[in-house]
Amino acid sequence: MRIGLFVTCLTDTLFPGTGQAVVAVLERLGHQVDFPAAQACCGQMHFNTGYRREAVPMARGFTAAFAGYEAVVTPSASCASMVREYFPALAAQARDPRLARAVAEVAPRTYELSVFLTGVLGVTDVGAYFPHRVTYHPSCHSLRMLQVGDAPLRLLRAVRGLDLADLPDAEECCGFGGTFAVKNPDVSAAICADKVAAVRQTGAEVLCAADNSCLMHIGGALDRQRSGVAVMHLAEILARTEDAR
Amino acid sequence: MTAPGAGGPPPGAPPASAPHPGMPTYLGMPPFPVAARAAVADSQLRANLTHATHTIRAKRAGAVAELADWEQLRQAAKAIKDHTLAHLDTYLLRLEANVTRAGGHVHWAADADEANAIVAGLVRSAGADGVVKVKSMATQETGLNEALAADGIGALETDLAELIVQLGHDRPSHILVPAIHRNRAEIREIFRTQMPGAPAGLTDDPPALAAAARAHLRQAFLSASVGVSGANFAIAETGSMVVVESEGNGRMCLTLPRTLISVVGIEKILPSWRDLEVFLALLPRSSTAERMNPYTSTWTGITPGDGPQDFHLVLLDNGRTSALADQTGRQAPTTAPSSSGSPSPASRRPSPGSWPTAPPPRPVPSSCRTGYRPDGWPRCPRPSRWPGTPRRSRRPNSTGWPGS
Repeated sequence: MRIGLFVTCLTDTLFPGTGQAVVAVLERLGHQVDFPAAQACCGQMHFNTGYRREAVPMARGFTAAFAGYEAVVTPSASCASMVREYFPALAAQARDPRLARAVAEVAPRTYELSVFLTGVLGVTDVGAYFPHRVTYHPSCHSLRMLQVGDAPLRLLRAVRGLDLADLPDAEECCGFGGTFAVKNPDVSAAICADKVAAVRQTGAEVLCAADNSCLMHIGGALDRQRSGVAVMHLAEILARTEDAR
Repeated sequence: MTAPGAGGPPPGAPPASAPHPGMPTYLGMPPFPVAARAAVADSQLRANLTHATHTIRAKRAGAVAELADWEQLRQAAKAIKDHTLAHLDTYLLRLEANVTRAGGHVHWAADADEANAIVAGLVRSAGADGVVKVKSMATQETGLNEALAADGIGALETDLAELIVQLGHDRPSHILVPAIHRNRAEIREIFRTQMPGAPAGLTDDPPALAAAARAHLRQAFLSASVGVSGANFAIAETGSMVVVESEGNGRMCLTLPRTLISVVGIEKILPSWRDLEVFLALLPRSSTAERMNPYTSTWTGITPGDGPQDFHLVLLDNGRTSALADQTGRQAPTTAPSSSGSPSPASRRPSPGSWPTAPPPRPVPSSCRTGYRPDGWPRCPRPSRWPGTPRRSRRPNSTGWPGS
């Protein structure tokens, strides 16, 4: 299958290793992965902040960059839900039938990684090996918007050597919320403090999620507390094998 | 700035987000991020809220899961609300006619000041200098207690949580659970220091706290000549009010005083009792995780010789018609009335031409594919009476309730 990697701005600029890990996992499963260089931001931040008009060209750019791929895969539930859930509304609001057609073409084929692996490819065991105690934070967009269900957990359970710990109050937000963390830093940090306390209760060595945005936020707090808990994107755990590292 | 969890006030102290006395609503308080900075540093407040919200959410999830067609019920309720809002003027006039026919008086208040002035005038003409109150968000919105106080009229909150808030010179922190930010140790402290005649040696045992509040309120119930309430629903077809509550204190206020004044937002209207059934199935489960709330009080005007003999309904607009006409700002733009000029902000009594009355596009919820019947009613599949649960389990059998 010819797959386009939608890497997302946050992963591209701050966590490029996650993008490489997605490619490693998909290639290991026998697929060809392209990185269309024309891709840019999906416009979620603009859209959520009320700059809907400014988000329209970004939706156009996305549909142009990813036209023609059998599937578009992204390591972010947040950005995937922007494309799948909000691009159609954006196109309708812009009264742009051409964009609407392009969105109808590409949005249903845009998948968050765990949904693509389990739902489209029908794979839960991707041949990964990760002998560590891991707990999983279901990010709000994966849980409430994209409704990925237990797809990430099924993938993690199939990883050899991995000891999966239940995260107390897992469904609670981590407090990041994009620009919310900037506009309401105190509340954001307080929500994060509860999340970090829950993570530390598990005794996990690694906190895993399907969104680097949440991991950046929670990871910052874990790091400042010298907790010794690392954060890793789901893709990076799935990319680990007995041979590699 | 204090790090979260450190340096907060000691347990039992008022929250750092101290109330602003005399300020009737949340408008005008410090901006949220500023107020939040102080509140998140209050570790007691955070512990209280964490405990209470987790308990409440888990209970609600359980209560909701008992109904197989919960989403259908919600869709049915939405269709009823959409329909009612699209014909609000018709139903309001019908309500007014039926309240009046049943011996009540209807007042139209365009804004908070007008509503407060109407209530104050009615209390004065009843010759009273104090009122007992049922928990009411509408009067919270209008700042009625502060307005009455300025007129020399005392207002006693009788809902237990509202009483805790009032005695603590505090503000309600939650629409359903006004004292959710307080734990029982704090409540004991508030009662001990602020409640006249609080029993000596009061503990923080919940039954002891409830008994102290009961003794405190009972005398007020028996002596008050005016009660003030809101309403959860107002039923147009009969002019009836509905108040849903848990404690029975509301019913005391609704039945004991000679004069009853209900301040009700115009969006609380339902066309018929049939519609109420849907909402009574939803509201208790969703709000307090109860299959049915302990007290549902309904009344229609006055009943000679029984209960209040003077009933006044104050219908409150206070921006609601503006919200109704605001196609962009409303959550469901397709249900807003189509443009027929902006409504008169002073929507006292709707009159032809002064109200957003142009027939709006009929809202069709996605679950109601067949649209609307000729008489204007949504053709939703009506939820069965007790969906998802064997009917038998809800009926007392010959060996008694709940049956074995």
